[in-house]
Amino acid sequence: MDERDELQQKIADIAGRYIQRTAGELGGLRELIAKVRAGNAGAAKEVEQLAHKIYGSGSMFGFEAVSEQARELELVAKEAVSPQMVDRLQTLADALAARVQAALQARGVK
Amino acid sequence: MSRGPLRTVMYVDDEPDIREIVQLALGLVDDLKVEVCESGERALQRLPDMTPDLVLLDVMMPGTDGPTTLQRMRADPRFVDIPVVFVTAKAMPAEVARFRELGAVAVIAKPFDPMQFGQQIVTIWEGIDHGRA
Repeated sequence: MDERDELQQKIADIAGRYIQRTAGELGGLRELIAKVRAGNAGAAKEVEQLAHKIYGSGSMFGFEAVSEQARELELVAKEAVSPQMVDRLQTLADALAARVQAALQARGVK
Repeated sequence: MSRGPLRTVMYVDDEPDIREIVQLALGLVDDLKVEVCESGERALQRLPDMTPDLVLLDVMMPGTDGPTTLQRMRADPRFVDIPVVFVTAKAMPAEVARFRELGAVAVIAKPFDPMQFGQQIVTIWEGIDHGRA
């Protein structure tokens, strides 16, 4: 195995870790959205940052569906806080969770 | 004026997986020393010790983000001449133009190809030497 093959293998390993860690971050995302709903506007910035991280890394590792969903979440998190905006955050977070779950299942992880 | 070959790079990103990818990708470049930092603040602390040839900055990081890190480098005479490249998912044309106005010599969009990343960085470095970047 030359160093490029080795790099490809390591990237695949890191991608596996990424999607599992992202699954673990979804609980935190839901908590942040609950804080936004409770009136903590600063939590919206944290939602935006977390969604941006998932978006950027997801595309790096070939999880395009996860990345695209996170991008939508990031964009909504930038909007002015309103009950409708929080509802959309929740809907998008649920959709993101479904896509992460699908990605995990595709890798044989339940 | 030539700066000589690229020897040292600092990469700054809060995302550990991307830091690892960059470290591995730049490992394909012969004789290149790479230091990674998890935040802009940490990078600013490490710069006096390392004085890298080139700094690669993620844009959106908690605390001191990439643009703020660049501005603080430019305000410090010790680091004012170190070229900075942004590596970012925020690579829409208007954002790229803003980063160039801030003083970035180049902007690399995420996702990037890890297999090509090292050569991309070397090409940017060589462009700085010849006034192309």
